[in-house]
Amino acid sequence: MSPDLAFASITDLASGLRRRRFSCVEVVQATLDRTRALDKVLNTYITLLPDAALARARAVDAEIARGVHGGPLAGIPISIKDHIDTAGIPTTAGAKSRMGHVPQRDAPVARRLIDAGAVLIGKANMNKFADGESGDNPDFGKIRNPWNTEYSPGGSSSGSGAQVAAGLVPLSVGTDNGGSIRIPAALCGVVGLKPTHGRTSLDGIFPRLYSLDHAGPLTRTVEDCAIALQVLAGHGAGETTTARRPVPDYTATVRGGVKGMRVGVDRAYVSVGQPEVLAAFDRALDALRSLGATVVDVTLPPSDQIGAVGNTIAACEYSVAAADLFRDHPDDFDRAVPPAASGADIKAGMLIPAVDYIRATQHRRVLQQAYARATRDVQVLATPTYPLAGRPFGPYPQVQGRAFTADDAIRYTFPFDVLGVPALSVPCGFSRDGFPIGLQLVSRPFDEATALRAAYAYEQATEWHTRHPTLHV
Amino acid sequence: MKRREVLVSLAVAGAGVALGGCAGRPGADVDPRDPSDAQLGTMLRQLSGLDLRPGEGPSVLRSFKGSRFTAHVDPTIQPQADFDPEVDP
Repeated sequence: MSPDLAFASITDLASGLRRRRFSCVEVVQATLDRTRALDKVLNTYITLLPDAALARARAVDAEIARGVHGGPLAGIPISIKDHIDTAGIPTTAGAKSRMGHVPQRDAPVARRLIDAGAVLIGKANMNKFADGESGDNPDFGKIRNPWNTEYSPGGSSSGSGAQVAAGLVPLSVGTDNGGSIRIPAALCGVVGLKPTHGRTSLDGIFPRLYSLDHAGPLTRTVEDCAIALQVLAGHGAGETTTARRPVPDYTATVRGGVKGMRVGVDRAYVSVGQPEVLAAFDRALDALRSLGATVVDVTLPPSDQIGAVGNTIAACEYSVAAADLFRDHPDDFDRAVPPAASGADIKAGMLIPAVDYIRATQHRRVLQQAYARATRDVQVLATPTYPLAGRPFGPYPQVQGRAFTADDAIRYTFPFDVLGVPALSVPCGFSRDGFPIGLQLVSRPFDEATALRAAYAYEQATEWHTRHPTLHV
Repeated sequence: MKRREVLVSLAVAGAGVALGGCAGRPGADVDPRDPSDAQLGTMLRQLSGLDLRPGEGPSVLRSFKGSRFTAHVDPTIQPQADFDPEVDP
């Protein structure tokens, strides 16, 4: 696969297919060849689907030859995180004990992608049970960051982030309940969007944290992210996890610019991180200012309160979601790679009184209101996505003269899962060692369009999205 | 120890880690009022049907303490049976 094709956007691939500059079979075969070559090291797939993908590609080519141009993703190679149900394909949630779990039906998000014409290349490796951001799966092995294979791509949508960065697919769909789309996006130098809770369906996705889970796209460009969200968003008949709200045309507004946009920053909150990350964040704010945005100070509700509410909700919901699994396969939790939950954590969650959980949801409402007041006069909020540039496997490095913790790792991402608001990570620079850094843009509930608009303006004013890791096929 | 005493002991264990109104990770150090492993095991079995493994008690208790939300909340606030991300300011 030529580097041009490997790193082509969805828009460019779709255009080339429609104009028959190349066939879908050529694209998919090249994708499979590149994947087979690189994935020996990157380890981004749990299940690769070469035969099904090529058969699908032949069908797409036949349609194009007949003048039928399918959906917005017609002929586009994609991957799906391996805890999203796909009919007839093992869906493991990152656990070998679930290799026998072969769903009969697609999850709605998977079905939407396929109905839009996408070609499923395979199921992406991930943190086991979508837990933690280590990128280290004890069952399926470490997933490697294409920018430096000695480092983690982040998690839990680890394979998704690495695949998009490595030019294996232009779109992967992951999930996020603490940062699991945005953290790999930041660490791999790609775009990742966690939509509003309820914007995309969770039906047919291995549940982890019911009220904190979100499904969303990882792409190389913001425009591709808008295209993907357009496909994924909305309520479908029989779905129990989506809001019945109209879905705007994201691609129509993504180029709207940021002139006059007010961007909120809580300086006290944005205080944890490696100096290179914080410096890149400041430069990103300068870039937004230069594009006509106004950066204003805001004071968010205390992050420790949001964290405390989120931890209780997470502990209880995971102990419910994982209960059967834990009873059937307790060994699955014995080898949990920190900061993933251990068996002791699952048991602890089962002891938490219901009154604690109810109070936590009550206080979440208080925090939501406080957050809405704090951000009433801004269109987006900006933070770094992840405090580190480069996440090692194993222990975290010291940061700012103290031990960096698992709570620090999700400092900028978890609160927006708890609040359920949309948040997007877009590349905003590189460290001296060549590790990507992410800028997070957060908007109001169901207003993904504004986060996309701000991210697109920033992306187009910078060149970070044009850099790709050097990988030898 | 009776079930009620175990419950009281667990409640005390959790309440001991309220930080500025909100419990947060990591849990507090060992408290003399903490339940023993046997007490914890009894309660775990009653509530979940799961057994406490030998030596697992301190880990479970630490995680339990760190995961509780013990702040006072205005009881007139409606809890969220179904989470809605959209609120009025």
